[in-house]
Amino acid sequence: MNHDPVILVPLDGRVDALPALSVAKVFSKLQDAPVRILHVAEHAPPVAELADRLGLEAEALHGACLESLPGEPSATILAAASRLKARLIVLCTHTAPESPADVIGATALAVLRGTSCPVILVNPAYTPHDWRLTRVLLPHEGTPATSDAVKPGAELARLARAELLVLLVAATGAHVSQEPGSLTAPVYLDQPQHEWPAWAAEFVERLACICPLADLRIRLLLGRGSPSSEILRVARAEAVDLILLTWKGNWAAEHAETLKQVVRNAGCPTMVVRV
Amino acid sequence: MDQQARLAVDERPVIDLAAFDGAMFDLDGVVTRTATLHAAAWRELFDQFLRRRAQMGQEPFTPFDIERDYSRYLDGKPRLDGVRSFLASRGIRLPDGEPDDPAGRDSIFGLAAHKNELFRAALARSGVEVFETSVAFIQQLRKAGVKTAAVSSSKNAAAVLAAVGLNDLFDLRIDGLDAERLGLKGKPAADTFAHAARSLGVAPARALGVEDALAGVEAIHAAGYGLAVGVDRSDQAAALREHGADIVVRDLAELLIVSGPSNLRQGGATSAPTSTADLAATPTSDPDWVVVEDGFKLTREHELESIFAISNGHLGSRGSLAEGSAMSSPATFVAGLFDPGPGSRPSLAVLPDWARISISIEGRPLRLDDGTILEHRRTLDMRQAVLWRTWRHQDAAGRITTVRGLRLASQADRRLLAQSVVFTPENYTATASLDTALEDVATRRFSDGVTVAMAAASVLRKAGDLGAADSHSVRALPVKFELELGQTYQLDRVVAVCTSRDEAQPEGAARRQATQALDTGMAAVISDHRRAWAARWAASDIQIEGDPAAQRALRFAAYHLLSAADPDDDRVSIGARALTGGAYNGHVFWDTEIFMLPFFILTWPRAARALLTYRHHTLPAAREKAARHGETGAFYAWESAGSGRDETPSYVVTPSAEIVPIVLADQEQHISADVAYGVWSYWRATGDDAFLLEAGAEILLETARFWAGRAKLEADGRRHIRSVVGPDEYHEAVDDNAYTNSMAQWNLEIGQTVAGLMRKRWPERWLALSLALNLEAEEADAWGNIAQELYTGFDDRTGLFEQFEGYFALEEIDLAAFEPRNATIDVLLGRERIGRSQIIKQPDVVMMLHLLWDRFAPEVREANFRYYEPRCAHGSSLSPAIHATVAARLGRTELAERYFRQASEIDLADNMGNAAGGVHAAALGGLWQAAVFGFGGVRLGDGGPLCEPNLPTKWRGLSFRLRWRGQDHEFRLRSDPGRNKDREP
Repeated sequence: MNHDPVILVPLDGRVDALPALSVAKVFSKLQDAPVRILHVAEHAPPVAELADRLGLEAEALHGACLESLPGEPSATILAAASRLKARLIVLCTHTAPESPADVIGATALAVLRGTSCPVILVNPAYTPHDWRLTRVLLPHEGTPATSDAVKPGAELARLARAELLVLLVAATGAHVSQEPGSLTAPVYLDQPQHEWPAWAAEFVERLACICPLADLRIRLLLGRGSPSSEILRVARAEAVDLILLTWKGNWAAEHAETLKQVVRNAGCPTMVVRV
Repeated sequence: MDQQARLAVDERPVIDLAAFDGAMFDLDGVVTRTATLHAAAWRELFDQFLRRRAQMGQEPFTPFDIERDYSRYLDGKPRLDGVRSFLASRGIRLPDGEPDDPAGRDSIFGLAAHKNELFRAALARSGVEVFETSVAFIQQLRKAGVKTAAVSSSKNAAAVLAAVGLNDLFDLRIDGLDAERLGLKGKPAADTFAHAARSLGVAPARALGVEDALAGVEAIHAAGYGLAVGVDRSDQAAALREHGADIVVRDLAELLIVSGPSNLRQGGATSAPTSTADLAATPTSDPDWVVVEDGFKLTREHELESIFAISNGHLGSRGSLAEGSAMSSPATFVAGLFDPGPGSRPSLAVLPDWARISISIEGRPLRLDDGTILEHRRTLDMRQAVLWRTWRHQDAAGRITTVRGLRLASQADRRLLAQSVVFTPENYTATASLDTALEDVATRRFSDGVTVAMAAASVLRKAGDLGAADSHSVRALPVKFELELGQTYQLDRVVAVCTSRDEAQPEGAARRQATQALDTGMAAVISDHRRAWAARWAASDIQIEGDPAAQRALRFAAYHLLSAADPDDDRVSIGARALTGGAYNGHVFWDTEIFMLPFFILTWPRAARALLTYRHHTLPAAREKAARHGETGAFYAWESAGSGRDETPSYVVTPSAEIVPIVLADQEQHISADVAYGVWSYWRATGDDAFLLEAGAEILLETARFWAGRAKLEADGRRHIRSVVGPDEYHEAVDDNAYTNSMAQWNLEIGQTVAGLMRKRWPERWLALSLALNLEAEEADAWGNIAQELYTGFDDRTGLFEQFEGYFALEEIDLAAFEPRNATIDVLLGRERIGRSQIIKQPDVVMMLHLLWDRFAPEVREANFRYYEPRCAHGSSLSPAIHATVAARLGRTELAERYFRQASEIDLADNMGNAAGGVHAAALGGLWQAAVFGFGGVRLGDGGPLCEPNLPTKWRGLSFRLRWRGQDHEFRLRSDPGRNKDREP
């Protein structure tokens, strides 16, 4: 049987998980995609009991489908995402006390690692129930691969008529991509009165030719220093609602440091897309 | 207007393969370009000989005239005959001597032997160029089974063929040694051609012969060949015909090869309709002459458009894809044509996209982003200044189309742009439509009153329709037509651009020019263009042995520099990105005089003169600017467009949302001395007194006068220049910038020198000019003292110049600690921190060393380079090349190589997005300087250029030619491992 692609929201029954549903419903409305609430437990309750078990009011449930499955949570969520052709998975970073050293909980991490579809990580501590999408921050190191990967996020911003802030961070020790067609900050700045406008236009055009930006309000920002600190600073200063980040799939120590810092400390959800 | 059409053919000279079994080719001038080597060897031989005779009181010395004497008495003839022929023209009789007479003996044999030595030495030094189109033509004949022979008078033919790797191109070679051995008479006698045909078993009537020399075509004719083709390399078409040529072409690419039944006359040419529908030239195959991009990466398009731009100094056109893409930014510019725009600063006007061609198959546009790219290659052919493209594409319906094309901006007629496209449906028949963005004529009037007209003339033909009665070509676009499976179609277009600056009726003139050029034929347009470029390369090419990347980078630099200048228009100069992109708005900076001009002065002085005359035209604006600053004399614009008014923006908003005031228009005052430096350098190198008197002196005097006012005498008894910006733009409003003060000092001294020179040599002109400038002799005489009193920041204890007052006290920052980084250091650290530090953006004191080299003791140069080089962050593209130059001159060859490589990658590396707005013309000029002044070690003394080379270890040799006071000076430098050892301790 064919399904419309869904927005999958795994909920584990804890109240801390509910902000994910608020966020998912915003995307559902924007994308005209149904929300599928998925509860996975060793002994899966009947769907009829699920709303009570999850603490969902009728209003929160409106427009969403419920599904209750037995099994190990992360594997079952990933299987469901595949079966339902999820276009997004929205889930909270933590719903239970974890080790302070953990950036996200074990289930969220396993889902993040196991899926190729974009994942929106919602930090329950920071996300209000009336979450709205008005400003999206896209940290970008200038590669075509990143421009390609962030298309779903840019599309969400367009649908929400949100402003897209594209942030490139100049840094010491930064890896400079050798991918053809990449554009970092200017290597030479002969005459800033000419170079800056030209560089900004070129950066946006290169992004736009891969990731359609029509009808989007865009601002290009150049930060400097530690990428994660700069992303968090800009996110706070600009009251950003969503941060788009790419991830190469390696969560081991000394990898994905920017992603870890942002997910842990950002005051808004983070959309993670694999490159 | 859309139209349904049937297509056919053109009317170019045809070689019908059915008519020939053999083809014989002269080598020199037809296949190889050894004529210049031969001519130079003859000149050297006879000038020595004639001078010797004059010294012995025999005849007054009249030098060998390379144009008249070579073609009339020597070209194409056996060596001994040539010696006799030339001597007879001078009424000189010499004994024949013996065949083994040594070189230098005054006998026919002795002179011939000497000439051979000179030629062979030249051959070994500089190699031989090949006419690629001739090679392609011969290969085509061989492929069709036609036997080929090289028939040369030269005894060096075997060596020449071996040198260019063309031994296998011919089934037979008959050369001067064979002729001597077999007792064959030389050209114009028929012997050698007759013998070649006999040896190949070809009846003379079934043979064609190709020659560029008058004696050669005469020999072919005398041998009874079916067809004599004359190749006109030196404007002697009529003479070639008179001597027996049946067809005369400028290049063998103009001939069309066909096979099968035909309406040709036996063995000859015809003007009957036929077609091969192919491009009228072939790309250069030598990898050192081409920049190639395979595949397609959308995000790189803007930088590739810059790299692949074609220009001729008057018109420039970015190398955008003909059919467009999501990232295409096509632009065509006319030098000096600015679009003021309401309330904004002038920027180069962008003209309609003349090269845009849309081919649709069954209504579906043929585009790179729709379907599968089976092959895609773009090639910038720098030797011919042609942009080539090959594209094989499968659309979503499985239809495979092959497209090939070329594009050029004519160097022979700077009003013309031309393109050819051939396309073949490989596996389908379909209805196609073809459209262009510029169908007929587009006219635009600018707010400054200038009108520009672009007119296009196009012709679409199809191939293989030989003699078909219903065939015709289509000249009106757009057009819809039926594509036949496997059939090739060709679109030729010529676009003429005329302005009201040059033509009373630009639209009519443009129409006429375009139509005339197309009627003459694309082959002729291309041939003229290539000939003009060949002349440019003959004067400007640099050859490097052992480092192909450096060779290509230097050719890339020279290609874009040669493309940027128009010696016939002195109202314009070269903007920072030349005519390759809209960045920097086409504005002119010090880049032109300090970075690009040396190349032009020493290889194309006429272009240099035009560039400097632009500064003379803009002198009134420079005077106004000085007056606005409360000064006298000339204060040139930091950014200059058409009028010379300063067009520098007053601020910029950075992506960090910082509003940065731009103070350069007020403070980067060294521009005036830079312009003066260019003027003086030109006059020294050319001895062009007319320029000095008409324009140069006025600039030198007015700039000197500006500095006399700016250098204020203070309480310490010294003069100081305060609140300026030097080349290092990280530090603003500094006092006593060493570069500015030293250049001002130099400018003052030269001003005084010129005033004295004029009083002495041209008193009348001095009188007129000094009256016009209200300049008393006493005022100019005082400039020397002012220069003496000017503070330069030199500390004779350390040998260091302080870059500006207080520089030594600034914070020292170790730049290495910030590597690697992904941005310029000022972005990383912020402007304020940079301003408090010793980090510099680009050479400042080192720039001063570079320009005023001879004014400093060797230990001073060394000390200052050693001090400042580690403090330079190279935040400007102008920086690496100058560091390479100075490092090489100081013998620090390895360091110089690193900087040279960095400079060569500014536009060519595939991760340098900042070429998107155009190539970095000044950096390209800097690269040339690094090769010539740095590794070549050339110094320009009053006696001419001398060199003390420091070649990189990889470079086995470096050759170039410089023009000094009307004479060409050839440099052929060989590596010397001992000498080139890096002098870095």
